Amino acid sequence: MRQLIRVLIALLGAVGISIIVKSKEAGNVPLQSGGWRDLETD
Amino acid sequence: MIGILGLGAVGSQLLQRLNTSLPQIPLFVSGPDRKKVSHLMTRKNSIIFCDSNEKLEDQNIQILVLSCSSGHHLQTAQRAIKNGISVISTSNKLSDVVGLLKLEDEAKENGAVIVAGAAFSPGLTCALVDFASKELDSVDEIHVAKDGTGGPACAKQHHRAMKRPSIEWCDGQWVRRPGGSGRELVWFPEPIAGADCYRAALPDPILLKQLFPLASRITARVSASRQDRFTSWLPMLTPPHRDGGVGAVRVEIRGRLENHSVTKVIGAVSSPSTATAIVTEVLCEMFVKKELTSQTGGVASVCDSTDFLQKIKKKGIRVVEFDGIPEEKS
Repeated sequence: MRQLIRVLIALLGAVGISIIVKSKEAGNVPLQSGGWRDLETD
Repeated sequence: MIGILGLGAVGSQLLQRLNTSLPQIPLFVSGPDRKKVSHLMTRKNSIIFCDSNEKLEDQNIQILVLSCSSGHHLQTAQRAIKNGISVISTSNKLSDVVGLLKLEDEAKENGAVIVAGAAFSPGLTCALVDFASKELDSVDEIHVAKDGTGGPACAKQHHRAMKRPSIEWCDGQWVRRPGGSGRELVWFPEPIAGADCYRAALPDPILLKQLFPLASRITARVSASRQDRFTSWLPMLTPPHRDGGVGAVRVEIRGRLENHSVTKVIGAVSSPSTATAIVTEVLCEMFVKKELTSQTGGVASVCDSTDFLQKIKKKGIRVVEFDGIPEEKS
């Protein structure tokens, strides 16, 4: 029983960490770059 | 005759493109999945299909495009070159590119051309660097970055490259550094914008060193998510996507112009698989018109980069330059 609880806690922890990592990734590029224009090759 | 080996995301697009752009040239196609060939193909009579590459030598092929998975290019290229067949390799695997460059003498003996790393990066990036360098007196540093992957084989190669050491040219010597290290926020053209890029086993510095032997630093990085980095030492946990969608490349060249330090930043936006198909299509067209100059090397070593970029732009790849002035919103 104790082993089962440990496994469940470990699984919950892994899910929690991946949610935190994903949410940080989703919000790490809030800026717009700009400053690019078509290259003249003629 | 033009041969295409591999009908993945790149090979199938290339076949469709050559079908319309070079209608007078017969095509020899080898790949396991013939279903990928469109039913709308207009000239099926001049397309010869083969399930394996056993019949390669028996065909009257002048140029062979290797669009199969990375890692299988070198042996096939050796066989082709022995028979005087020129080779365009789309592989971005380090060992493939190094091996192909070592076949230079054999290619010269047999009168064949070898284009190594003819893809989005390397390939288009080499042409961008060469084009930008024409405006400078000398080139000191070259930094290449890439975002996005093409088909499943490209995604697998990206995964493998992340766990292997990178090779960089640094102050007159080759330096190996761990893959996944050296995080750098790279600003790509829209819609990609900012992405964290890392060192990986990428062949761009090897090809660019040929062109710019006096440069003091040549590096290449690839964008990756945290998940990519954490799982790079494991086998791929989920099957790769069919096509990775829109990607971008960015090259930064630092050099000197009239005794002043100058930095030039150029990029391109496209789906990596489509860009690779366009790069190989343009090279095939140039080969047919006898416009490929040198014998062995990267894209910029075998053709004029200005001419190449003009053709690439006409086929739909957006090539842009960074001037640092944001567009005013009206």
